[in-house]
Amino acid sequence: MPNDTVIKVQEYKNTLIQKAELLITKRFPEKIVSLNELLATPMFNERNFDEVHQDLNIPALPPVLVKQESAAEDGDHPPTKRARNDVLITGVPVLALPTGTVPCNKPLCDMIKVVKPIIRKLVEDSNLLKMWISFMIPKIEDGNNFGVSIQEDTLAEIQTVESEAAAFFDQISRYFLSRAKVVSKVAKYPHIDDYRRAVVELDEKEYLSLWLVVCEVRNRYSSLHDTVIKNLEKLKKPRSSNAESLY
Amino acid sequence: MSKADSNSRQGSYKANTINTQDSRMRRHEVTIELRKSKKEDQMFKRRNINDEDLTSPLKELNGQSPVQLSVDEIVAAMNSEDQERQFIGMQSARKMLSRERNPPIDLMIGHGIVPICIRFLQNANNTMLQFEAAWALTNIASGTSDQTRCVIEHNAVPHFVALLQSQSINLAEQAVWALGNIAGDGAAARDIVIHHNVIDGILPLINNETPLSFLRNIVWLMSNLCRNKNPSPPFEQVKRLLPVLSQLLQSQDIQVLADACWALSYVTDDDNSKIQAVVDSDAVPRLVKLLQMDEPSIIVPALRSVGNIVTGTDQQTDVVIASGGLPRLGYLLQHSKSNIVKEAAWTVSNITAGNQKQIQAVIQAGIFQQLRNVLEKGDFKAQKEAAWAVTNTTTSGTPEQIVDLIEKYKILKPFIDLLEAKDPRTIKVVQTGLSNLFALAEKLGGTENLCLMVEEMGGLDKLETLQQHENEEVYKKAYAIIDTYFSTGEDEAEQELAPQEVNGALEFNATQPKAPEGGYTF
Repeated sequence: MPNDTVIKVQEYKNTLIQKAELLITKRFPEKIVSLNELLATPMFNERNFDEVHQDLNIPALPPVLVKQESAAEDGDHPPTKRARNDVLITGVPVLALPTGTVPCNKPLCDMIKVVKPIIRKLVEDSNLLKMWISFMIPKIEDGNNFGVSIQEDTLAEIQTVESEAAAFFDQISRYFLSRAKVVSKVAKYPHIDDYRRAVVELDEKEYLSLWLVVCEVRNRYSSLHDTVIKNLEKLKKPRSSNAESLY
Repeated sequence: MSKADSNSRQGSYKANTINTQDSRMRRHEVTIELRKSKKEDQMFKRRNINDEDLTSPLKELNGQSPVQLSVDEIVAAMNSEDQERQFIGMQSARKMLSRERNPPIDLMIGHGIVPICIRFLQNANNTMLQFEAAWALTNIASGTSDQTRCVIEHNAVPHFVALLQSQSINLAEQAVWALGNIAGDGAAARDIVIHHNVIDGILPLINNETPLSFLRNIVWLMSNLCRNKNPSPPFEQVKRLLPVLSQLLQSQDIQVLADACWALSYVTDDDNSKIQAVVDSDAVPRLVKLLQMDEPSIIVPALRSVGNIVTGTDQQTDVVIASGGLPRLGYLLQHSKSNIVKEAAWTVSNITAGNQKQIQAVIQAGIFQQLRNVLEKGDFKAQKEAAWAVTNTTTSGTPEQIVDLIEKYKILKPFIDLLEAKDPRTIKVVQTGLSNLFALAEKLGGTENLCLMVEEMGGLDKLETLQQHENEEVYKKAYAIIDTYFSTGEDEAEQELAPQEVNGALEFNATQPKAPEGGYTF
């Protein structure tokens, strides 16, 4: 059965090469155009920071207003004496917020929904291209390696793009975690305005980052496409045959 | 080709090489820089770890001191010359005294803390120290009468009154709180506080900018200043609070409103001159308005105040009526809380004890409909008050008004049913009412009809049962009514009806009286 496997691997390689060439020649330009169009939509274009502000749904307690331990219920008189038992600065027990959940930032969530598939596609595409180049690299010889270095450089660049794209992904989950941490501080200390402001600033930063991500993805597609197309011949056939150079 | 050459050659071919290389270099540098700054942060973190703990708001301020001071150590610290040690000791004492479970008040008093605290109260250079001392004394004074008295006896009151003018709002508020606890101990302590000019001290504190928690404490103090009798507080002083209290009835805060109403309820629970002072402060329309709020903690004291006011003169009652009190009372007679229904009925009963004009106003506001429901279905305490309202009408009303009670509002049946009440006082009220009705019937020549109605409604049976009641007044009255109105003039019938006296008690005779013929027109 080893023959079978060898044939299968060869098939895989061939399919991959075909896919990759189709990708780089047709799909990349399409992708670049669609990303440009996306960047022109209102979601990404000239959007006001105010639009990503969202109310936290955590009421600020009146300052250091401790509910009087009132024996004074409907029929009862006010207490004749009251001890003061409160702490000067008290955190609010957070387990149950009477106003309900603190929602995620909706505009940003919508953006993330749009951006995530784009990032994912870039990761997949660059992964594919990486393999394609690798398959194109000829066996190692000690001369006529100019084309090979071109391939190697291109390979390195694609590798970088892939890691950066993965990092963009990571950025999204980190945003949510950071926001959760700050929001929990707001819930615990609702009378401290700076925590609330921190949430707003975080959201604005994330908005900017998301826009940047889309830009960068488009740039990566463009530069990869550009690099590959310009050097397509050398990438596919790095070594000129000795016979050709002779004649 | 060497790498270096190829790189430079690539430089001329690929426009992007420099960018990618450069950006890679930059990325590399940035990463190193990030790693460097992180390392520095780590070092700073370790160095500053003590500072951070102290200033971080994320740590609770409680339980911060690594070692809890013992009471002896606390007292020693408070007695020392060093202000910082004094403060630490004082604050530790305050923390012990402000814990929720069993604060060691007697222990602290036993260690002589109170005079030291009072000394600290006078240290005008150290507001924080004064505040802690005031807080500790507040909690000591919040305990038993003995504990409060200890604070009074060490002459705390004048110092607290002085602190009312402190620039520090927190300190002034704490002083108010302490004085509230002291005044709340009873009439004697309250009068001590008043005699130290507390009212001069608190009146200027109330304005539009007064912070809410401060205002709540002040109003609560005022309610304690009005509270308690035997003796009542000196009225020339309490009088000065009335304009402010009346103004506060327009506040939006529920606790302020409730305590202000309670204060007024204490003041009006007194003779008519006190009631007049409250009426003069224009409080009545606002009190009546508050009866509308969907907040029992406000309705109860406002209703109590209004109820007290209508125990006064007719003019004072007229003010309540003029402010629209009757429709409000009508609603309150339908309230879900039986306590409120009872007090509303009590208030109405005092209005129907007034003049005929006032009774007419009660009729016109449709109150008797509600009273009928209370008589039928209300809580037994409310029923008693409603019975009073009816009986008072039969005492003071015009014949037309009284007849309306029976014909229009059909009050008679539920009224008579209360003859079966458990409380003899209720029974007596109904009997009085019935007697009045019969007296009127006699005047109008409708005795027979009334007898018929009463009998049809089962009233006669109930009255006959009552002749066996253990309460002397009840059975005597029952007999009197039956004897006067239900005997038909035949001697035998009378003889049969008259219960035999056996050993001083009346015995019931089981013969039926002859029911008079005739219609029921009255």
